[in-house]
Amino acid sequence: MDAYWQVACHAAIPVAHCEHAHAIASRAQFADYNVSTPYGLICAPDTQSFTVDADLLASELDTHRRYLLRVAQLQLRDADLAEDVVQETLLAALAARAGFSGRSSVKTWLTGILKHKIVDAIRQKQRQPVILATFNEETDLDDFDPLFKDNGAWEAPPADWGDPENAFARQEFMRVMDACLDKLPPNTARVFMMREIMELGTDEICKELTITANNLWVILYRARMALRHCLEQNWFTAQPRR
Amino acid sequence: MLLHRLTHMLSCKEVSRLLSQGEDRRLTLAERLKLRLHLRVCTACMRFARQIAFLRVVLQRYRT
Repeated sequence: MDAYWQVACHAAIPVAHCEHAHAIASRAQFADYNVSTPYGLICAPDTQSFTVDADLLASELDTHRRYLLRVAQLQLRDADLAEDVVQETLLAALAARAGFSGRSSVKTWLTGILKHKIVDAIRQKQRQPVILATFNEETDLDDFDPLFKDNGAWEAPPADWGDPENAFARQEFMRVMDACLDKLPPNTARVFMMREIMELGTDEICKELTITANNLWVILYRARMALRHCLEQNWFTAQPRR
Repeated sequence: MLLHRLTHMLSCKEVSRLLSQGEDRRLTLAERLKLRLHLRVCTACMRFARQIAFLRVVLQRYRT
């Protein structure tokens, strides 16, 4: 039984973060677990109830850790904070594993937990004036748009993408998509991920970020325009038809 | 006035904004009618509409 948890801890929690993990552990009410070094945390559970899905969950957590980090990183644009948020998510997942009901839903389940952790982190970040300043810049409602002529016609009309679904046949496509997401301005990316990956409602996002619906539409519009353009440049017109 | 609002042709820029907003809110009947009219005659915007729909599929894959 302990071995499984050793695996889980090795996989999910980098050594460097163990100090912090201790702090989170006490906050997340892991008080009744033994905390040991060097991997710090919950590696020696003292209750029987653990055994059930331990090995399954351990490998699942490892599988999804990179995805969660990626999502957190894209939204928070802060490697340390992303690491913390994912760690808290995994801990919360371990604490609440009884509520997890099967292999197929692990990712969804973890993403659901991550969503709350990210919203908390964003709420904290919102209080920092620096973030707000850049945020205002990105939500600027300036009507000038270089993609269109003065009369509102396309400056450079969208290219023919053929049947875009063919792109899924190539693994590189998702990497291009990743790179395109990375190129979005930080706050635009954050809002876009809240909407499209976390699937938060527009009301919810406006409330969290204290922006108007109009602001939100502009940000999401910019994000989609930028992604569309990036995919076109780097995939659909980048090389001979795939 | 109402007639004018309904028959006013949208520019490509307005169409692209409405198509994006259509992902986030329910468009009004007037907006949907005007969009349809524009898309029927504008190849560029029709492509754009398909590409936005494709983006939705990509993100769906990204999530799962």
